[in-house]
Amino acid sequence: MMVSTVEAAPETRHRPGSADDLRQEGPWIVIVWNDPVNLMSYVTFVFQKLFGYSQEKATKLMLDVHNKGKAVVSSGPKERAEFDVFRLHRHGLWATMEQIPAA
Amino acid sequence: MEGLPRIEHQRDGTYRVILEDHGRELLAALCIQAKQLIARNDPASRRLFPPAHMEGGKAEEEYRQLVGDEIRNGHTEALNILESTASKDCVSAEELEQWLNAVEILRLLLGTQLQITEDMDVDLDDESLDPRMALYHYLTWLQDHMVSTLSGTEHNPLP
Repeated sequence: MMVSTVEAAPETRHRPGSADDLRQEGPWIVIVWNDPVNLMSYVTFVFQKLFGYSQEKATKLMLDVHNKGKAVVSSGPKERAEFDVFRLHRHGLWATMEQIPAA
Repeated sequence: MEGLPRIEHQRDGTYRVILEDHGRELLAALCIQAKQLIARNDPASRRLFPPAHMEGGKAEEEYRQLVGDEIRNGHTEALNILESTASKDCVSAEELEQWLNAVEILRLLLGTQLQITEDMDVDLDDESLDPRMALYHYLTWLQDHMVSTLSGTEHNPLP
């Protein structure tokens, strides 16, 4: 005889917004891409101003953007990444955000 | 091009701007032009509003709805402040930060129009050079100088 498992185990059904859902969502990363206009000194200055990074860390990230074409400058929940991208766009930097797939 | 400007940090926290009238008028005029490009969604102004989501789609639409106007208003405000304070001999730190934002916008617009590439070799003495290229390099120098001044790496003699 076939037994419906759906009725038998309601607590395992997918509920959007539940704690399980949040755990399955990976964090977001903010990426700054290289572009031919922005100055190295300006990009370093913006990283320090927006994220409070040390001169050393900001310079390393700027050099990654310059040499490798991009760098991950921050990460966190979607709202945080959105806010960081917004601030980078306000400062003329070419920034995007993407979600890291859940492990 | 006119003599290079200098911006010096003063003891009272303000910044002294040493710049000829011609340079000040030029900056104000460029701000007016830039606002016109933004207002009519000129293709060059697209670089001022880069996508937040590479794949575009619904996520990008939502981002535009959320902050699109705020980014546009922020750019316009920076240009307004540079335009209205370009004639001042002394500006506040907040004003200078907005000058920096405005010069960034001017360079992005000009750089897009001139299709600037990273390894572009420009001979500024070449008479057939697009005059906007000399202007672009002037703004590059000014922006780099502002960054040095604001981050305190420029060692100006304090009065």
